[in-house]
Amino acid sequence: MSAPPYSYSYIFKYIIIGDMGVGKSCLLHQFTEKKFMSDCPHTIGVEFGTRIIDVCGQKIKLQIWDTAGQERFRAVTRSYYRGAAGALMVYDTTRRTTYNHLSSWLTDTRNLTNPSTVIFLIGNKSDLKDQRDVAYEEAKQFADENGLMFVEASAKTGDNVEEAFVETAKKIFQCIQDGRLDLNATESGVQHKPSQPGRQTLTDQSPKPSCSC
Amino acid sequence: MACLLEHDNNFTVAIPSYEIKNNVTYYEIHVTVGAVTWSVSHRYNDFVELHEVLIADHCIAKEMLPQKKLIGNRDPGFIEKRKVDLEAYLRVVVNYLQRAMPLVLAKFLDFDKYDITYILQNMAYKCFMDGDSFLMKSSEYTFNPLQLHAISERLQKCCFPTEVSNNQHDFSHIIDFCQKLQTVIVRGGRSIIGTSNIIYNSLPFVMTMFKSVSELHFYNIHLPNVCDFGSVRLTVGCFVINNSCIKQLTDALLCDKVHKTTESSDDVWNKLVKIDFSWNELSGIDDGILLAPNLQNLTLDGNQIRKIENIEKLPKLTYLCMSANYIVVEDCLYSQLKNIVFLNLSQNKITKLSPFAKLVNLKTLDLASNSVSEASEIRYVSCLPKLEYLVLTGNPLSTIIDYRVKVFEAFGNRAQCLCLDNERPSQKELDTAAVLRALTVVREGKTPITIPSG
Ligand SMILES: Nc1nc2c(ncn2[C@@H]2O[C@H](COP(=O)(O)OP(=O)(O)OP(=O)(O)O)[C@@H](O)[C@H]2O)c(=O)[nH]1
Ligand SMILES: [Mg+2]
Repeated sequence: MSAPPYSYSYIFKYIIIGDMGVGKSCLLHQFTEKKFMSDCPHTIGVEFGTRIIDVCGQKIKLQIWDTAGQERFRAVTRSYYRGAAGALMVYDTTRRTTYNHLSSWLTDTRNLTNPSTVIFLIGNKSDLKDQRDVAYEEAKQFADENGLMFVEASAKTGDNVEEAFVETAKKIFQCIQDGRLDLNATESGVQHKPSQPGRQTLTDQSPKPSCSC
Repeated sequence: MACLLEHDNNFTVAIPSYEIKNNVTYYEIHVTVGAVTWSVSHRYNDFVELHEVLIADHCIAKEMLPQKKLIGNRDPGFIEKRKVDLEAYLRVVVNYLQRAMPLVLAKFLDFDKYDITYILQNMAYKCFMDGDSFLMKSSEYTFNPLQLHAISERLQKCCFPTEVSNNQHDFSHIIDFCQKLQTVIVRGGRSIIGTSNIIYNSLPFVMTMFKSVSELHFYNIHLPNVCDFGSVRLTVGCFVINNSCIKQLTDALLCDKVHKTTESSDDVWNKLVKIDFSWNELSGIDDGILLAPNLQNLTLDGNQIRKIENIEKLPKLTYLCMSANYIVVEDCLYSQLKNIVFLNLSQNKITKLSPFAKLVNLKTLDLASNSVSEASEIRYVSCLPKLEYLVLTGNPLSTIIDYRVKVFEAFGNRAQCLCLDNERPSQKELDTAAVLRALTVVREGKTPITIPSG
């Protein structure tokens, strides 16, 4: 969170989805505050967080919607998918049912977002090694079959949390650079930020031609 | 508040009348969405402009709009007919485009003023364009209940499937902005909004979108409409509610709770150090005050309070201001106010100074415009060791001849440190006071008693 709060050149909208209790809110909190919330209440409707990250020399602001996993909020949370550039789909590595529900989460996401939305699968609670209920290989295969990015992470230790959010942003950024994602398309979930007073440099007005990441 | 998304089969437009101002005819359009109605006036040329955009971008047929007419267009018969034709035109257009009403049509019909979806789009766009530069300069923003209601509805309801037409209109920008605000001001009122039948203070809203608020100001708000304070209860340090008819402190501090009891620790405003609930209808200081246990600064001007009570439950309170109430004090205030440093009880019904005699921490005591009449009362405050500012103007006492000198006399050698009625003593006043004291010593053969017994 070293970036000055008002200096960035892109905004990416994210959603975090998955069954209740898989650790969505904890992942968001770990990512924005670098802290673990041990007794986090169930999310009512939606929560929201932001953080500015650095991807390939560009400052990118992530606007992240953390949705409630409980079924009764599904109608509310569905209205936040639209216009998401990234979707983090979370299951709990210690509870198989949360993994089994992934295909329905995936269907929802595919239906409600656009084809360029980057979907990242996170197997959370990797710190609870002896309670593992879903093998890494199995989830990896599911991810590959569906063209998803994938890591196992822990909102508790912070392991791979940063990676999941940042890798998603990198992928989105790549899509912008190679033209697969049209910035001007409605609902791309990405916005170029018009030049702001106080912006540090003017060189980040447009995407740099090459990116090493 | 209107929500076209919810009431799309209960949406009508009509042009019941027209008005001629400065030789220009304005057609009055009535819009109804569900239970909400409003009106908006447009001249024929506005229709032409709208129509041109609709033809270009939305496949509306060119010949649908009633024709231009250059001569004879002020003839009442003509205007009457045009009114009918324009209404028919609007009905067709609206019927055709209602499912995804283009912004230009929404604006023409003032949907951006009264309909949740369009209000939010407008706000989102402003937050996206100017939010950051605004927040760089200031962390304070003033909302009205209509805006907060719109945000609240969006957060809680699920009637927004087709909302985002453009990334810049995305709701995220609003929440992003709200979460960063440190000072939130909400101004309501009992007036209707624009030409509609919506009343500001009839709209419920939540405060859950604010995550870093340290200062919250409500002016003219119907508190029962605040449905959820969310984390504001945990972050706010200064809470101002003025002109909002609150009758009890619990009404304000627990307005979002079903059970108005002060027992649950979840409801406590732990960070709250400053309260200003002036110009309401408080009749006393009720147990609600227990919900702000760390309070340092309490202002309750312009209420209907008769009695000072429950202050002893606020160990950190040092500043108390209860001007313009109906306070009468008879008994010693020590147990209530022993920690108070600043006390303003101006414009009350106080007749005696003896109740203040033991408030040894007082630095400022403002009793302007009360009913203290006896000069002999002065001795009760002249013994307060830290008192530096004393206001007694507007009491019958202050009309006594040599009133100022009498006060300074009573303060003895501390007189020069005392600012009385916003004025330091002049050298002449100090001299006269000193002479009077010397005379008293001569007359009575001892130094005058300044510390009252008992
Ligand atoms: N050991 C461990 N516990 C975790 C981890 N992440 C979350 N938890 C715990 O799991 C519980 C649920 O976490 P939440 O973040 O509230 O889950 P959620 O997905 O937001 O749940 P809903 O809001 O109901 O959808 C909490 O008690 C967390 O402390 C993790 O990585 N490791
Ligand atoms: Mg949650």
